[in-house]
Amino acid sequence: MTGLVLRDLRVEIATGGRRLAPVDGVSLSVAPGECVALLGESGCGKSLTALALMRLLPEGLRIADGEARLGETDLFALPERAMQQVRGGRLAMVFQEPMLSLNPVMTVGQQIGEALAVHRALAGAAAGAEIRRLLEAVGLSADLSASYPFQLSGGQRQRALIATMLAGEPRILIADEPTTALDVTVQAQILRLLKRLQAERGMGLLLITHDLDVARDMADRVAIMYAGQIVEWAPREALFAGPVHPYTQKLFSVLPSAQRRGERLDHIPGTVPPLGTAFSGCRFADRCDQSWARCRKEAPGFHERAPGHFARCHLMVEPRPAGPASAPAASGQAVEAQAMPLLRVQDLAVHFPQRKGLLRRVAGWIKAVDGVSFEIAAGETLALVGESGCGKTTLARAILRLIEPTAGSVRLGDAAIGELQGEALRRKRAEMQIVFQDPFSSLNPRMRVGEILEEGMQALRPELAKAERKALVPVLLQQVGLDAAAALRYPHAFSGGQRQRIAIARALAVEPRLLICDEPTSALDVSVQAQILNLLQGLQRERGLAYLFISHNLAVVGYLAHRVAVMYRGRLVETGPAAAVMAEPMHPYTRLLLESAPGRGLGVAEAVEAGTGGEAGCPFAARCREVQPRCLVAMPALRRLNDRQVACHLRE
Amino acid sequence: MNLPFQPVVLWSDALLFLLVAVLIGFLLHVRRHEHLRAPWARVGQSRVGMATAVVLAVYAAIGVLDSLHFRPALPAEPGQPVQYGNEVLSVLDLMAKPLRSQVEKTYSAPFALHLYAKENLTLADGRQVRDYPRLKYGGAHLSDERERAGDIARRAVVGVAWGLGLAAAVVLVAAGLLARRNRMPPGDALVRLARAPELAALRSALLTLTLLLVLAGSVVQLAGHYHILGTDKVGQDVFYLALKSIRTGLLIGTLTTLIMLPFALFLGVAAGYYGGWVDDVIQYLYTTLNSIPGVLLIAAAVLVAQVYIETHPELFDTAAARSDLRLVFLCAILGVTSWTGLARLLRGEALKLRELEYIQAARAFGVSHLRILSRHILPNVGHLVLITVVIDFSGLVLAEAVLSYVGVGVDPAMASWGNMINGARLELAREPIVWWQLAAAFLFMFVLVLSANLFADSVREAFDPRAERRT
Amino acid sequence: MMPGMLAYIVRRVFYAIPILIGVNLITFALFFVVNTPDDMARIHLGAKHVTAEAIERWKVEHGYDKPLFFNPEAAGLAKLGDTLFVDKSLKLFVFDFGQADDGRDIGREITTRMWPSLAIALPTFLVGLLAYISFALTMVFFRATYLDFAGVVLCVVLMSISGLFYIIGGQYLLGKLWHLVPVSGFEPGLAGLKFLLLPVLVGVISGLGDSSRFYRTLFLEEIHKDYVRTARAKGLSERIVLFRHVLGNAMIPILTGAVVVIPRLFLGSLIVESFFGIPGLGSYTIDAIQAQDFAIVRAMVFLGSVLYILGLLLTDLSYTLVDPRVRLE
Repeated sequence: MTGLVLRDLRVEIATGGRRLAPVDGVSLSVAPGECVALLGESGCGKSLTALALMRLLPEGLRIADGEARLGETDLFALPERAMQQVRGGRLAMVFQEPMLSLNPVMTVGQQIGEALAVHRALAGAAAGAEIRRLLEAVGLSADLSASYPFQLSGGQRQRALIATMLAGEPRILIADEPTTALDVTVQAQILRLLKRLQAERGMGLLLITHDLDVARDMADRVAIMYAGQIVEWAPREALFAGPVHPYTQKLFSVLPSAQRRGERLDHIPGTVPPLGTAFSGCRFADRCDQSWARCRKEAPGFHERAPGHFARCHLMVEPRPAGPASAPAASGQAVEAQAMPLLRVQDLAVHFPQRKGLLRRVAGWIKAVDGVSFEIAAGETLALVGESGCGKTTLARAILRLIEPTAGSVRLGDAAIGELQGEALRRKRAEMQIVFQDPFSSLNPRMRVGEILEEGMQALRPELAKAERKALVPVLLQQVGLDAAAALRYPHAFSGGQRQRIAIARALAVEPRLLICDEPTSALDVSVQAQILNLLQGLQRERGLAYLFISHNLAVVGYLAHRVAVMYRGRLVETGPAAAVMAEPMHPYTRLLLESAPGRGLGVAEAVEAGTGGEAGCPFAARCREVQPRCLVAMPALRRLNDRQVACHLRE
Repeated sequence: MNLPFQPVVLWSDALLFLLVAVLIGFLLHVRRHEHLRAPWARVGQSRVGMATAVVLAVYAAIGVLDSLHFRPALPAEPGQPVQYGNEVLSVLDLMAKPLRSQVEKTYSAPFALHLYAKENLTLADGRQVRDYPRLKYGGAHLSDERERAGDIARRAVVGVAWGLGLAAAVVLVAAGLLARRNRMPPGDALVRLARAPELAALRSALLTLTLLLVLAGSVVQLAGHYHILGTDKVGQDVFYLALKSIRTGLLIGTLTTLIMLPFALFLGVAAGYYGGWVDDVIQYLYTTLNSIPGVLLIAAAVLVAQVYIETHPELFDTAAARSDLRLVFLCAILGVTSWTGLARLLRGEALKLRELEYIQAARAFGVSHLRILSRHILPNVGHLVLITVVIDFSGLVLAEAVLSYVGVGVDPAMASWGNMINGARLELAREPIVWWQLAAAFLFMFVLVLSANLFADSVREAFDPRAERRT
Repeated sequence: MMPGMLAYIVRRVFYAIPILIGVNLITFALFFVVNTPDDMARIHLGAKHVTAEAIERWKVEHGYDKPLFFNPEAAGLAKLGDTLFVDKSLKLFVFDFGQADDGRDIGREITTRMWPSLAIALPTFLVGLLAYISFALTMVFFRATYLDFAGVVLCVVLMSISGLFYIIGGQYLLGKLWHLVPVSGFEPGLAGLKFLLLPVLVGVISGLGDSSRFYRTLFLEEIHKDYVRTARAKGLSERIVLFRHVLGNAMIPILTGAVVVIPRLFLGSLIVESFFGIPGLGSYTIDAIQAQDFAIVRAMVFLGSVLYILGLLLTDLSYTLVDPRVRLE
């Protein structure tokens, strides 16, 4: 057996005289040619488990207990010098942030060459040839050997990093969220690459992820981790056919999807226990709706439910005593949009000048948003979908006039936002508000939550007296599901999901009719995402809010949106009712996005990675699988087809 | 009203009082806000931070005492209105009266009984000899010169005893306060004070205070009867000069900041937040100022001020007022040359902050620029300002010495470490060497700057958000 | 050289002009507006009761007898041209520095005196950089041990001592007590080497605490970055990680940060040169300050500004050499 076996790993950190264990008794194994997914929400200890295997734990953390065997080698007993031979040799690791994980001042070739020199004693021409071979093996052009990381795209960097790690011909490759920072199309490519390499080389792959769908596409066996422990460990088919641990079951039931439209999503109450919590029983008991007295007193064992399918739960050996059944997920009513458009965006463009030469003359324009038109009715959710850099966020800011648009008009109700000044603009601003992506930078850390909520009211609802404003704060907090006492605390006291609730309450404070949500859940764990999505839907029902919902997550879009607008390089390429677009995409780009979404078995043909299109033709032509000669010379216009619009020559 | 003295508020005094007022206001503000209190609590947990804070507090106390100025009344004729002297004194001068008044003829070594230079002496029998004459004040109470060692030892022991006694009193008071706060018997509080790991920082502070009190006790016992650090060329007590120099050093380190802070804060934040032409103008301004070599700009400005002061003698009623204005002017010009660093730092931070989503949210609310600056930007650059100010302090104290040496520092008549070094340098060629002036300046400066540097470190550790993330 | 680089340099040189004009306005305002030439004459003539004629005579002798900005007596363009501002400020732009109060040509003094300055400043700069980086790297190599801690403490202690004491101490110990080197003096050529040792040593030591500690923080910041972890994950030894990866990246801010001072090395150090009796530009300046010779001070201010701007330009260019990510256009 040349695989990797980890037994009873315990990682400790010493703070303030206490020893805390973010990883507490983790055992798993990876056989050659097998892919094991280690799955869990943020902070559960999955990355630390991987770093412990590499013996690269950050300063302050140490392996307190456990045994790791790679073939015959006892990893934790090796002297550091011998461990260096293992690292990047038989055991290699790919990291999450491709933008930061390569040395910025060394060429890709040099960085691969380093590993070749250490593990295979290659140098000179032999090394050069091997570097080219490795680059081609990961789907990169061999010419990129002389490139610096900053010259590569995110996907290319991740490939280069994988090539570096393949240099030592590892038996086991650990991949720590290798695609989390990438667009879905690139994610699919990288996952396919890993899958292919694993098969070709008979390599074991330990894939760390937070995404059930990625695990479904990739893994042979899956380990679910919660609060430093593995709670369920099963072959993929068994797990996806029927998860047995209540936590795993919850992870499945909180996932949004087009099939669940209109349903209220299940959610996990409470939050992940903070590091240092003293557990007396099951670590999940407090958030589990199937727990009973025993769960809080006695830590469950790791029971084998079926051959190879283990779960850390008392339910495996004892049925739950009769008691009140947990409330089933309440089914909500789908919100019906009204006909009257609330927001009408016409030919909106935002161009940034590019200056060049001696006198800084404007040499060209970056067309971040280039002639975008759409409407949103009151009570309607329009999802804006596209890869990073397509201009989604710029569009949102231009609508709010946080950036001055270059051309086009935005009408909210009966007023043209672009023409308003002073007081009139201020009043209109109250009607549309924004919720941002990053819950950690969207709240001023130096203001109390109450002050944060009052700020908007103070600026936009001057008719309210100070006392009235103050009286509204607890009402708002309660609307977003927070305690009134929160008003007196500072943002740092809240978790990501709670902060996002505060940000929503801040926007609601000025009673907007349109809420622009810029990736409001992409920084959150799936269990928290469900809470926020439920909240947004509830608010829409109660208040008839319209949403412009910016997202790259198609499952969320399919669940939430009435209509979808797909954006590519500053232009809309397809719009239409969500269900229709998701079921039957008309634009090749939309189809590529949908096929790339994880959970569908990675069965698409390899697509070209983002290249540059011709100036004149369709911007997507360079990546399009159905490209025609005219696509390269003529820009397709957005044409109406029944209730949909599409900008593609194939649909004319 | 016939006061026995006339209070004098020099420009630098006024600014110092303003600074103290600002500090107290800041303190009250911090106390009310949890997120501001937390990093200071971390400073309070740092042993080095607390020990150096005690040293800095002692320096500050001496500086403030030396800033309460007055002119004493002259002995008045009955029936005449009270006349006040031309000499401006401070409370410190009053407390150290013997040090100020016991002026020898010229150099004498620490604890010496004789002058450092030979003179023609007329003995009791009328013979003329060339020898080192006895000092007028240093050790004058000794009837026999051989008693000196014993006398010094005796006085030192008494002083140490006084210091220990005072320190014990302070410790008891601290234990009492601790007992009241935690509602425990005083005995237990004393044990906790000695043992509890969370009170380690307080113990360091008390230990430092004990050392300083012991030192102060011996100095008080000895300084009235000996020149403990010798005398300078014109016979002034070097220890007294070193004490007086504390105020100069502190003022340069703090007033400079006080003067430059509004500019740096406003210009730096405005440049970063508004961008565009505002940024261009402000960047032009600080590139221009930066491009002038600092020492030369200071030299030029101080020379010009010097010319101005010399050509307008009618503006100053006392010599103290003259040298004081020069000091304030020096602080101002040091401020002009040093605001650029902080401004650039703040510009960069404001540039980053203005893209942050909470600022975008405020703009979406139509919150005015001024309000965004004051509520969102300023509070979030506060830690940078504080760290810079604390770090700059020691650099400024050191700069004073160099500038005074070049001749563009404080008034040559003003007590300052730079002037002490400058005076002593000329005597280095002398055999045997006159070392005590240098040693005194070195010692006083070193303790202050080292404490400031160490304190700055613990402040930076406590306030740096990166340090925060590591915990 | 990339084609865009030349355009960049030309543009930067154009940008320098308003800055130098600003510098000139500031110095001109300081020297001639706040204190009129009459005031200067009074100071120089010393005595309290100076006659108006004596003042006029002094002004004529030293070329201060023109109006500040506008000369109504001159004809045509000379109304603006025949003024003190043009005389004393604009001529600096063609490096015409005029005469010092003692009648000597400032330009010639500068060209002869910059070599002794450079002889001290350049070795101090180079040896210093090498010493600081090595010391910082040593501390980082032994990070989180007592050796590192002791190094940091040493740095803080060294930082807390005024530079004057390093000079005085060095002169006393090495010069007077041990007679290893002369206390002060200067001689051109190899024979003068013995005079350079002490000033260079003192210069290096007085910067040791500050710079080494700063570089150590730079190194430590770099060592916690993701790509360093990647390097370790490749199986590289700690030595290679430190020297190739961490040093390679941290050197970018260190080197480019150091480049800005290179042009100013010509000006020498005021303090060091005056203590050691080096006939360089530093001691020239300090003498001028003490003699209140404004013509020299003004010339040095202008020269310093030009060299600083040159330093900024060199900094940007040096980025393109050491950092592949930076392309000037």
